[in-house]
Amino acid sequence: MTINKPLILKAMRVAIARAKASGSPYAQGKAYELRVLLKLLRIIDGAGYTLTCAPKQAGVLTFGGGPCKANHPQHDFISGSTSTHKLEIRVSVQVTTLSHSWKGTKVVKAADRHEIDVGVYRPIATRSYPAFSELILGASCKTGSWCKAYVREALGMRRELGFLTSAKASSAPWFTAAVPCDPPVPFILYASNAGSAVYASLAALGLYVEHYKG
Amino acid sequence: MAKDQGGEERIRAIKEALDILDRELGREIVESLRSAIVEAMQEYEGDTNAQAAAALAAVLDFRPVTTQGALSETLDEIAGLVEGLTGLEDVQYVVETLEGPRAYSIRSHLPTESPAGLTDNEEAELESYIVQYLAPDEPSDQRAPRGPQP
Repeated sequence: MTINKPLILKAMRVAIARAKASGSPYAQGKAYELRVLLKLLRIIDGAGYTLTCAPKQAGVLTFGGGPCKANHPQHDFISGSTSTHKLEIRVSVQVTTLSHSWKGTKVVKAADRHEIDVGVYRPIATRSYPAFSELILGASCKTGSWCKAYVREALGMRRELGFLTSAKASSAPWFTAAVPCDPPVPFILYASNAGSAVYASLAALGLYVEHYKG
Repeated sequence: MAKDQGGEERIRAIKEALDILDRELGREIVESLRSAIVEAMQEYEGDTNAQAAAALAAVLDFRPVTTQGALSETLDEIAGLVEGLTGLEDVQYVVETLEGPRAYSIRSHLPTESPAGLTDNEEAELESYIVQYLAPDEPSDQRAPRGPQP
């Protein structure tokens, strides 16, 4: 391996120049989330779904800028359908959790719901927060510097989306054939940083950590 | 303790580069990069090669730069896959503010240009080093279903 000092110095100069030029970290994060959305749309399209959207405003997609409800009148979502299946792809919607379902109450407090950055759902009625059991696939998106806390956060989300079981036929067979969870919903952590690449073994828990540059 | 295969030397080179940039560019932004590097290295105590690789990964992905042009390409591709999105030009995010909900246009917050980066060869060289020392722990099929047996 021939990595030398001048290359290291150049890479760091570039990093700082890019940081100065990048503008809003929030917008950069959302731009990465859009790349993940596109990646999932390609997969779903490839599985034979027809994708449609009726944006509220022509030429503009509108999503929640932070954790939000599914029935926000201003927000858009993308629908997918085959002759036998329907799904919806939504951004930043919060789902009620496994622990909430165990409490047996309809009251939803902050601890009872968590945001899915890009989520694929069974068609959602008009309720505020869909249940974790309505998810088909969930994805979390992280760009920029890597931090192990991302994995711990995703593991916590994985815990709240179902029980660890033997492998079952996946709710999203176009992503993976089987998931060791009940319900068998794959949860993916997409990260642009190569530091994420060492966490592939978490697939054993139904958490799919993918290094995706975007 | 993993055997050092040049990781220590690379970590020294990273530190020297930070010192040079600190003198040239000012403390704040360099400190931010230094923090990202140090945080990335924390996970690999006792393995200088992996520490160097994690540090370089932090440098390569310190702050992403998506330009308005790249956003247009993404939106064109989305519009090509999704019926009803012809002419898609922007994505807006509704955020809560003290004054009530406000729409935030992503396009208006992205730069028009990205500064010159590394050449493809240089980037590939760094990435192959990173992959060598931060290789997936189970490289076979990360989607393989596993879990407890019934």
